[in-house]
Amino acid sequence: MDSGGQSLSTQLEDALAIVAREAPLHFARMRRQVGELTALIRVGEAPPMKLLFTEGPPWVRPGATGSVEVSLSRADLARLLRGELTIDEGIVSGAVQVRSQVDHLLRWFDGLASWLHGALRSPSLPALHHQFFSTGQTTPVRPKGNLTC
Amino acid sequence: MTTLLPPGPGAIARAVPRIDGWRCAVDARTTPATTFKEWMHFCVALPRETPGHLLINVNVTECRSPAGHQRQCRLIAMAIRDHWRGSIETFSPNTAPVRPGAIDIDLGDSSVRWRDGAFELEVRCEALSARLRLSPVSLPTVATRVSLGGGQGIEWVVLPRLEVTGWIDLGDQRITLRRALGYHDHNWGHFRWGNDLAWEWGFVNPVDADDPWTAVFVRISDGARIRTLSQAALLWHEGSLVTTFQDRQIRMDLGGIHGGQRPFTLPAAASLLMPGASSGVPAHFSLEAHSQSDDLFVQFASLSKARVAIPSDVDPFRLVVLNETFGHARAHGKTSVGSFDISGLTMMEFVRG
Repeated sequence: MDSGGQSLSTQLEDALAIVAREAPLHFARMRRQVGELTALIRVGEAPPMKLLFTEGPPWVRPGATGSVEVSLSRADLARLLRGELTIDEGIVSGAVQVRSQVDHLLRWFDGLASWLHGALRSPSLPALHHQFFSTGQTTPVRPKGNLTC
Repeated sequence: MTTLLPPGPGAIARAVPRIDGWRCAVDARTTPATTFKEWMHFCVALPRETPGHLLINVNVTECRSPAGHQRQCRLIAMAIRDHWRGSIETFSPNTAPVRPGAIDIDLGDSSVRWRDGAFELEVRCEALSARLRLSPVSLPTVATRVSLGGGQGIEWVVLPRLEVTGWIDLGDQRITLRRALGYHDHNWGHFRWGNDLAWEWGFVNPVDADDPWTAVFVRISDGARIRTLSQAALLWHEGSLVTTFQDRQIRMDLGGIHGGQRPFTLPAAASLLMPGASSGVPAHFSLEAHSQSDDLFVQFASLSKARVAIPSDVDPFRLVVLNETFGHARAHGKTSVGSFDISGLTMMEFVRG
């Protein structure tokens, strides 16, 4: 596993853990909405990450298949996180490729929305958001103000 | 004609720190559900040759719970020139101490200070940097309170016009300000975002700093904007408050829908929850106010908007949107002091959700 992929996987796990801890209401709703469905996320050349919420943590594991499979470049992931691209726009333009049954995809979208509402209410997440954009993805959280994700 | 004596700089320098200090008014009403909210807002018009606006908002949220007293400070720095840019930074109480009654606050490398009759703003954000000195040319208004019911309410003071010198760095461009005009208000209160509340707020300062007129207007209503809770329009001449219109003296109209592409949104991740371009911002806003001797007409045309998303305190799965809207405004009319007709690029805020 390359260091970039491992770091991304760790960051995703951390992001989930922060919302689980700081916005448990939102995390619980996300888990209910997603249920037993899994998601496989491929970001660039990094190893695929499989998300599963019926057990864990860890919720992010290596994998090869998922109920919903999403592929995108690291640059487009950054555009999503910077608010420059929405998921709808990404799918329409081909920047975000999705393979799934429609009802599974809609359940994941609902779960993502719940998680995002929790993320916006989690005091610790902005630091992780900033860390994602820091060079090498492993820069320590800066001690002054944190960007709000 | 009536002649008003403008307030002297000594009076302003004495009044502002007494009226505009941080309240930090945490009391029995302050709970995790209904936090105490307080913010200082600064707007600065960019020079005519590089039209745009800078917005700096320092806000403090406080709550009391069995776990103790919690305080969070945030710095929102935004600017519109050819496009919007901006960021939100959050600070713990340790890195952003607030002293009740004082104006000064440090936010990491950024700060607000009151020195020698002027605000000094130092802003060091990812999106922009600025070092500004903002000198009020009027006395602050007395604190105004609007009750929202159930013990909740919003209070504010306004300094409608400040002369601004300094610089702003936007990307690789430095913009130098000399006698630019700015605006400042300070708001506080116990209320819940998302609790059936909306407002329209704006001001008009002239392009020419030698033109002595300034107008400020606000309406607070229920979330559907059917029931107005309070509305006011105020006019200043040479730093003196000339007239205040209130409630039934004022009519406000919002027309059309400001379209365009999906607006710049803070925090960035909120864009994923608000993927559309809709915002509740009108294409046009107009105001008409009359008293026995005075008339005020305001027209505002929206040019560009940005959204600041705030988590609802009422519904954990909703957001409240502050639409910071850049546009062209004109204010004209007559008072006992004289007639006026000012126009310029300004900001309005439309709170929805």
